[in-house]
Amino acid sequence: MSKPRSTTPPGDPPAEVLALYPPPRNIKPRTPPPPPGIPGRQGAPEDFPLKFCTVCANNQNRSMEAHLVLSQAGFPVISFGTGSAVRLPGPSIDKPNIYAFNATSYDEMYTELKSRDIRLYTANGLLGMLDRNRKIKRSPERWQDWQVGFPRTGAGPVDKRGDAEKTYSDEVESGVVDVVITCEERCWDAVVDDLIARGAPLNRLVHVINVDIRDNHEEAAVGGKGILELAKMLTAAAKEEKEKAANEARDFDRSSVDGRVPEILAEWQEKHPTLPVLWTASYF
Amino acid sequence: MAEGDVVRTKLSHLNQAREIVLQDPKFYKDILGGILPHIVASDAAVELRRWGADFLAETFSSPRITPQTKQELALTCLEPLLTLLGELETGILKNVIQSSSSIYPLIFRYICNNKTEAAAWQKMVSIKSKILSMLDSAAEGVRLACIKFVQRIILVQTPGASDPRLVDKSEVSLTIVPLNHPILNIHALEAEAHGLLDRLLNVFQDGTLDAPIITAILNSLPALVKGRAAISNKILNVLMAYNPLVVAAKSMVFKERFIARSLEKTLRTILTHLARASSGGPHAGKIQQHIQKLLQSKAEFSIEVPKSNKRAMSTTEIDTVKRTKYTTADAEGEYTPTPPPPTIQVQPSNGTTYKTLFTLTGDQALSNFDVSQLPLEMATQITLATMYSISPQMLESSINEVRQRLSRLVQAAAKVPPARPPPPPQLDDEDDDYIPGGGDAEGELSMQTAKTGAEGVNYSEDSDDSYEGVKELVPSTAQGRAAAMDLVKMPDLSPEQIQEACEGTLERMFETITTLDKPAKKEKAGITRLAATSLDRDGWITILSRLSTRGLSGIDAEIQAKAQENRMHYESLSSQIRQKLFMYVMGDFRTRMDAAVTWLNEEWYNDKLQAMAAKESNRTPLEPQYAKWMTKIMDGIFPFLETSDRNIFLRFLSELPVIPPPVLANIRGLCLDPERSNLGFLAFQYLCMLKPPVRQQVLDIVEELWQNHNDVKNSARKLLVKFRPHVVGLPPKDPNGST
Repeated sequence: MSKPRSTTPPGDPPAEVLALYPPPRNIKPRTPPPPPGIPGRQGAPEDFPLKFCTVCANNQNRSMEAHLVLSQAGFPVISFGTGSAVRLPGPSIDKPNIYAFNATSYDEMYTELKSRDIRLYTANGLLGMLDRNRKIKRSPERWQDWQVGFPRTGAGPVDKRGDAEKTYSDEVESGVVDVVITCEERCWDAVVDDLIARGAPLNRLVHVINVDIRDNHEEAAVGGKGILELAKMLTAAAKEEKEKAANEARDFDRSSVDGRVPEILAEWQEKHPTLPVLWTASYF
Repeated sequence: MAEGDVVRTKLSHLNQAREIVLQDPKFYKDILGGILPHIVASDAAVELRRWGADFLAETFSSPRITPQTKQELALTCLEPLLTLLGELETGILKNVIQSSSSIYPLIFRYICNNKTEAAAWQKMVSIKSKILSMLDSAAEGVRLACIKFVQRIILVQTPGASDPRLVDKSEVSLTIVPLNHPILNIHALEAEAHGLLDRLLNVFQDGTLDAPIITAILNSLPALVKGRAAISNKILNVLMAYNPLVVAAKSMVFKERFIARSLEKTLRTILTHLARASSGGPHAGKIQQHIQKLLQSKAEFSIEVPKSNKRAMSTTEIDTVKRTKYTTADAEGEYTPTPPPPTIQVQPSNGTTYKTLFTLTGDQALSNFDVSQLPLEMATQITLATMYSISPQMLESSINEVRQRLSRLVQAAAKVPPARPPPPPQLDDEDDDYIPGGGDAEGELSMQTAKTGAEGVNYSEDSDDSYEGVKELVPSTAQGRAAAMDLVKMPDLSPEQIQEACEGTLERMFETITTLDKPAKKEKAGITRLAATSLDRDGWITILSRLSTRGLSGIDAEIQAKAQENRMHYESLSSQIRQKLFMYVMGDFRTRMDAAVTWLNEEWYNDKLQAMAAKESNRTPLEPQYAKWMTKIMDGIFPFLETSDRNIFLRFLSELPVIPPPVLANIRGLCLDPERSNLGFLAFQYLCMLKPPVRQQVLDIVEELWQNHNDVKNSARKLLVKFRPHVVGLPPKDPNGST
């Protein structure tokens, strides 16, 4: 299968072109993210009773880092952005690259930016990021356009990626999740507000958690790890409750996993004081 | 095949079936019908029931099935859902309740259109009552599902939009119930919805921090506010009275602070949403205000978090220099008292003043700032803000510092004064450069430190004497005198000075009263009411009248004695207040009648108390005040009374405990005034009927009027016919009337 990323001829643009675009100040050379690879996960689907959704502004950096980390660990996860459009840094601060959500695929963005200025976009890490993202799913998705409850079977970019790179996004086949994790307070606001505006037609409980992560590659990696740990803690608690329920057909217990969420978050926050957390229980 | 294998095979079949419907929703009908018996049967394995509940929840919330199809499916699922509600497992119950929330509007609509389907409705009602019984007692996850169910019920069982342009055809509300429906009783349903709403809203008043429940309710309420005009006011009022930070502000438990932050943010997001939705509406302004209030209390809240101390402090006026040190010291858990500020720079030649004694800041610009230039209001605000935000340790250490300085002054005064006053203890090594005199400072320093440590304890035990100490130790040297002079006790105020100060205070109090708004609505708090809980007009009047009657009598006696010694005229504070109150009432007696009633009742009660006290202790009672002021007020208002004041006047008479005779004479005067004669007789009639203690006196007056004044004979006769028929020559009707 021929990969689209090889369509751009290799090599640097002429020096005079490069001179026109002084590198923006916020450029931080970085090591590209590890190739996703996505190993087969350890454990049966029953080990992952909670389904997750990560959200940031552009569905590029923070939510996709978390998406990757969670799916590598085997969690069913999908991801969204709450912005009005996908904004990526351009040659200067006032010339961002703007793409439409859902319409432009990561692969198209990658190809386009690579052909425009491979040096600049490699240096600021955009190409590495897009390369990672296009192996996870087809295109950035906008939260507000998400039709909650629409089955997502086959909606993933499997055909684009080939079966070898399958993620666990496809396990959110019913189109609903149990936990939404946003990466910025603004996104949390947008999600909570949007859930209210939708009027909760599904009547289904969802925990909306914000983990404040600054929008750069390093912080995204740190935040992704934090989110993974949070997902593990929540899932462990859910499993614990499920097993308790299965072992003994017992009477009501005060501590279902929903009741334990604030407690778990507080515990998590104490371990991660640099990632301020916020939470609400809402409905789809 | 083992039982486990059977279940596993069945599950894999079921999963295949699910995949089919997820791909094409038109198969739902067939498949659901086919699998329903297997998944809810009570003898089915728990895995199957679990799967079934999951599938039902998914089916009824799927946006891909038309409401029509869902309704048909729902009718077949009522019985199974009811059965599944008997389960105990949280996961199953959650899903069943979620399904029920989804089908409730569908079934309701179906019943509206099919008036004879009582059986189906009965099943739905059973489901409903079962779920409602879990609302308060079940596991948290189940309760969260119940909350959503309750919200659905409220949405369905309240009237929807009445404006035909706004009506959403697919919406289910009370509005779609046909009149005279045989099964659905609109009023009962609506009453139930209101009751349920109250149950939800109660959570905001009982002060708990059950976060999942509260946020879930918060997130459910906007739909009700936006869609149901009938209840939106009620909900908004509750939301706007709610401040989760108040509950958590005291707690330093990390989890509770986190929860409080989350609750506050959720509430604010919701209010912002509602403000946007109702922009231009009547509530938008109020909601904005509450959002501001929340932001403010959030700011205060985060101030208390030790980490953000810095930010909080920078807004305060005093002590800006050492702040960073403080916070770091605190953070390390190691407590360092305020490093002595540059009072050291104040050399003896400058004299020791209160200013240097209390100055804690090293900032020259700041310590030279004349605070008295600030407007009073601003100074109050700054002080209050500081008091709120300052940490107890900080305050404590500042007080200690001042205490130590004071004790040093006392010491310096007692000892032979040194060439220069000993430098204050230098506890912070980093501040070495502040120490004047260099070399010998070190030795002195450690000595001082040790001493002041001990003295600090001394003073905290017995700090009241410290001023006395200064007085006794007035030294002979110039420096010492300078040090002690400013610290002598204030002389007692002379009676005139007290009187003057008191007058000023009173004037300000009354000024405040007149600027305050009349409380918009009197709440009837009944017997639990406390006097003067709110600082509105009524509260001030209560305070003033109690001051005059009870609060000041002891002090007055003291000052009075002193004034007599000096042969000075002294008008007691309480009589001053009384005079002011009287003037206040007279200023506009029609609107201030309430104040008069409050005050006079207090006087009457106090008279009784005084009389009792005097009886017990055998001393002459104080002059009774009630009759005096009552008569005075009556005299004051009589010239202005008009027939149209009937209501006020009669109410006034009715709310007073006793009517003294001079007042009756006043009313008699009214009767003889041709223009106001009606009012007078009305008052008499009223008193006869409702104030038995004065009835005979009133009747005597009326009788006299009847006999001597021809022009009021008719009016007087009416009263006498009723109460003293024998006077006007009628047989006695009422045995009690004339005795």
